[in-house]
Amino acid sequence: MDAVADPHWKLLPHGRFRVRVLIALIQHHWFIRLRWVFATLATLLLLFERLGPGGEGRPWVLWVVVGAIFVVNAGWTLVGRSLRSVFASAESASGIVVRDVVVFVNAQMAVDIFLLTMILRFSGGVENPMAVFYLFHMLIAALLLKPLNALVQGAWALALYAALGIGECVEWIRPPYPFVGGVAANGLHTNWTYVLTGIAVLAAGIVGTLYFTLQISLRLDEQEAELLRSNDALRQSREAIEKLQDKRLRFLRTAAHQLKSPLTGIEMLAGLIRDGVVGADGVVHIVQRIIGRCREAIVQVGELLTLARIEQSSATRHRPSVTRVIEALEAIAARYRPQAEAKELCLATRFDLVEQALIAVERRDFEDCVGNLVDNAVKYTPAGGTVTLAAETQQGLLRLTVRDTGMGIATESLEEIFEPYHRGNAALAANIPGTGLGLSVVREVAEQAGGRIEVHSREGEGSEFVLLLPLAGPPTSAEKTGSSEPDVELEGKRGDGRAEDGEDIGCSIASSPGKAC
Amino acid sequence: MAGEHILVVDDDADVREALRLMLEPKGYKVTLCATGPEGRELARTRVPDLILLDIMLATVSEGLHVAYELQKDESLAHVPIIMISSIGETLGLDYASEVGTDYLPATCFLPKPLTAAMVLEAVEQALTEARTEKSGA
Repeated sequence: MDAVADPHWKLLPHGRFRVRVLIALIQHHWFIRLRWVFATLATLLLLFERLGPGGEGRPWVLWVVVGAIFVVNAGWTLVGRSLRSVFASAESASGIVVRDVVVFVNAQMAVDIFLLTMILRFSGGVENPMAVFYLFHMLIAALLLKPLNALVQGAWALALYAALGIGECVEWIRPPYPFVGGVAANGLHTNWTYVLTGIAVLAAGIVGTLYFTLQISLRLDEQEAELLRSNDALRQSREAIEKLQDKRLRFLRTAAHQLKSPLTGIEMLAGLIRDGVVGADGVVHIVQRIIGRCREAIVQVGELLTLARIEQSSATRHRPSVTRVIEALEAIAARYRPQAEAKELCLATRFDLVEQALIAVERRDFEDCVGNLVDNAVKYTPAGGTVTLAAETQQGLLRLTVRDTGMGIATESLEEIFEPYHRGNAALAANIPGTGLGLSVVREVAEQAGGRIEVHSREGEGSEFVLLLPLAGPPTSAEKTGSSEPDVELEGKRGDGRAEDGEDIGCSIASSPGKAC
Repeated sequence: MAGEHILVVDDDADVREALRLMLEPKGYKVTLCATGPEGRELARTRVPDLILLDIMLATVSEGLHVAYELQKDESLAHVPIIMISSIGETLGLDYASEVGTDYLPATCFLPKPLTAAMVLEAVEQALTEARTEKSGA
C-alpha cells in the first residue's frame, strides 16, 4: 500500500489499521448484509403491526420506503461485486480502488441517512425516537472515515432531520403521520419548542458521538504509528545485529585458522626432531624456529585483542576521550626510532600544529593506529631509506602522513590491504614477518573516530598513508577533573603550567622541534 | 627416486624449511617459493616433476586457482600436484574426498601438520604413478 505517492490515499484516515478494516468490510459486503437484516426486521415489524390489533394505521408509502431499502441494497450488491474483482486483498489496494471504496461507503451512508429520514417522515417525524438510529451512522463514520468526511455525513443527517422537523411544523410537509399506528398524531410536531429541542438534541448527539469517537480513533492511530515505529526500529537493529554477527563469525573463522598456522608449524617442526629427520646439529636451528613461531603467535593474539578492544570500545563508550596529538606523536616516534636506526633508516618528523591540538580518540587506540603505520613503514623500507611522520591541521581535521621509500604496494592490492590477514606477495616473498592485522586496526580506529585512511603507493618506490581524523574541541571541565571511568583518558593534567590553556589557542602554532635528517 | 625436482609453494616459511629438510636428504632437488605468482612462474620455467602446493596462500583459495591454471597449461598438465592445507578441518570441508575432481585437480591431498613419513610416501607414490603413466601412455 503505497500511501506516499498516490494522492487518493488522502481520502482515507491516517491509521492503516482502520483503513484495512474499512476495506475488509467493503470486501465482505458487511454494510450490505446488515442492511438486508435491518430491512427484513423492519418488514417483519410492519407485518406484525399489521396483523395485530388496530393494524390499519401505517401509510402504504412506508411500505414503499422499506421496499426501497431492498431495491437499493440490491443495487449496492451489484456495485460491490464489480469493486471486489478489482482488489485481491485489503493489503494490495491501489489508489483508484481507495477512491472507489470511499465513494461507495459515503454513498451508502448518505442514502441510508436519507431513507431513515423517509421512514421517520412516515412514522411520526420528530415524535419518533428512532432518530437515535442516525447515531449508528455517526459511529461508523467516525471509526472508519476521515474526520471531515464524518462531519459531512453528520451535517447531512442533521440537515435532513431539521428539514423534516421544521417542514412538518410549518406544514410544508403534509400530512403528518403518527408514530404509533392508528393513534392520532398528538400535535407535538407543531410545537416549535418541541421541534427545536428535538433538533438540538439530535445535533448534540451527532456532534458528541462524532467528537468522542473521532478522539478515540485518532488515539488509536497514534498508538498504531508508535507501534509501527518501534517495529521499524526493532527490525533495523536486528538487521544491524545480524550483519555484525556475520562479520564477527567470518573474522572468527579466519582468526582461528590464522592462529592455527603458527601452532601447526610448531608441531611440524617438533615432529622433525621427533622423527629424526634432523640430526643433532640441526636441532638447535629447528628449536629457534619454534621459538620464533611462538613469539609470532603471541604477537598475533595481542593484535587480535587490540582489534577486539577497539571494536568493543565503540559500543561501550559513554563519553569520548581526547588525546593531545603532539604528545602522542612524539611518544610514537620515540618508540620506533631505535628500530629505524638499527635498520639505518632516517625517521623524520614534522608537526605543523598547535600544542593543544586534540582528537576525540583514546590514546591507546591512536598510538596503536599510528604506531602500526610507522611500524609498517619501517618494516617494509630497506636500509638507507627514509620514513617521514608528518602532522598538520586542515579544515578542522588532523591530517597525518606516514611516508616511506620502501617496497610499495601493488595498485590492485590498494583496497585489499586493509582487510584482516591480508599480506602482500612482495612481503611474503621477502620473508617480512607480519600478522596482516595492522592496517585493519588502522582502518577500524579511523572509521570509528569519523575519519578515514587513504593510501598512495608505487611499487618499488614507496608508500604514503594519509590518516584524517576530526579534531576535538578543548576538554570540558568534567573531563579535565578526570573521572574514574576507565574509558576516559584525557592526556595532560590540569594546572600543568601551560600558559596557553584556554587562551589564544589560535595563536601559538607550535612547530614541534621537527626532526629532519 | 633420487634427483627428481620438486617445487614447493607455501607461504609459511617453516613449512617450506621443514619440507626441504624432509626431501633433500632423500636425494630430491627442492625449489621453494612463497607466493602463487612465483609458483606459477617457476613451474613454467623449470617444469618440475612434482609440485607441493598449499591451498591457502595470500588469499584463502589461491592455491586452488594456481592448480587450475597449471592444469590448463598443456606443458604442465602432466605434472602431479599434491595439495596441502590445514584449512580443511577448520572450515569443515572434506578436501580429501574431492581429490582428483575438477574442484581439486590434484593427485593427492595432505592435511597439515605434515610428517616426514606422510610426505615421503605421498611424494613417492605420485612420482611412481607419473612415471608409469609416462611410460605406459
